[in-house]
Amino acid sequence: MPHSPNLDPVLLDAVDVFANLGPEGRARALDRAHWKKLESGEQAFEQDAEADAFYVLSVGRLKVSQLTPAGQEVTIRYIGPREMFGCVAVCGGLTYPATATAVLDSWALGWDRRSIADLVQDYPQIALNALRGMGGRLTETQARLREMQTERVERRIGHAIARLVAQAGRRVEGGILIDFPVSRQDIAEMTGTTLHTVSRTLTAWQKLGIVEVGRKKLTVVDPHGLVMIAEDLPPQQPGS
Amino acid sequence: MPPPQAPADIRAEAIVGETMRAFPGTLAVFLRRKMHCPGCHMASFMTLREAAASHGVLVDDLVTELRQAALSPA
Repeated sequence: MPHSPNLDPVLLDAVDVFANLGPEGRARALDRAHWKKLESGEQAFEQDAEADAFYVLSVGRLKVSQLTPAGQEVTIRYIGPREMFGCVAVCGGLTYPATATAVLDSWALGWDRRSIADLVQDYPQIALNALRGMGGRLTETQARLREMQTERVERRIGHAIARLVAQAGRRVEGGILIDFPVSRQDIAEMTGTTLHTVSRTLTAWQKLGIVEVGRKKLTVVDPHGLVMIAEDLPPQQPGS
Repeated sequence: MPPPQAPADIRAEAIVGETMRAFPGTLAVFLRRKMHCPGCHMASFMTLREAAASHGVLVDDLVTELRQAALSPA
């Protein structure tokens, strides 16, 4: 766990939601921010709790999930460094629609509702940036909805893993490691299927040399093979 | 290996995603070859050599075509 990082304006340079604010705007934004430390397993906020703050993750990784009325947990997405979460506090929602839980030790910058409202008033660019970010998430959500309705479960699992690679992949000897603890249950929740189906599919893929599955660890050994499954591409003729 | 900056930097060990970003004109080569690299989540992690092997393409041919495409305006 790092020390509480310093509030250096450079910190916000790479954060999309504070893009094009200029040094003064970023300094103002940091002035109103507070650090939130989250140990692995700790919640930043809980579903249905009052949406009293907006956050940007600095270090670590969070899982955003919802509980169904029957008590089943559904993973909505993962949040990586420089991504915003708790956006509902900016766009007027009263309660958080989902729970955000740290899956690694994490640090986030938070703004209480009042502070972020003041900042948006003075710098409407923040609202535009947030809108763009949420538009991107909506696009992704729509893609997942389409997959759920139309695709075989193998393709859904392939897509989910490809998305995890895009967000948190790290090149290692022999493949691309998804660089945070991800379980079969997590993948089941992301793809609307059962743990049993995910286990069966990953075991089959491991035999084919497409993935390597460890405890809470997933390495894509044959990225091309995974994409072929996810995109349902026909095998190619050599030299074509 | 740093991202390619000049067409001559396009080598077998260059990353597919970085090559496409630096020289958008190279996308046409991947598409013509029916390689699925443009838009692929894996492109940021794979070398041209790996992509060529996956698609049954000779890497030297691919590199030559990509350099030519990078030399002409996108």
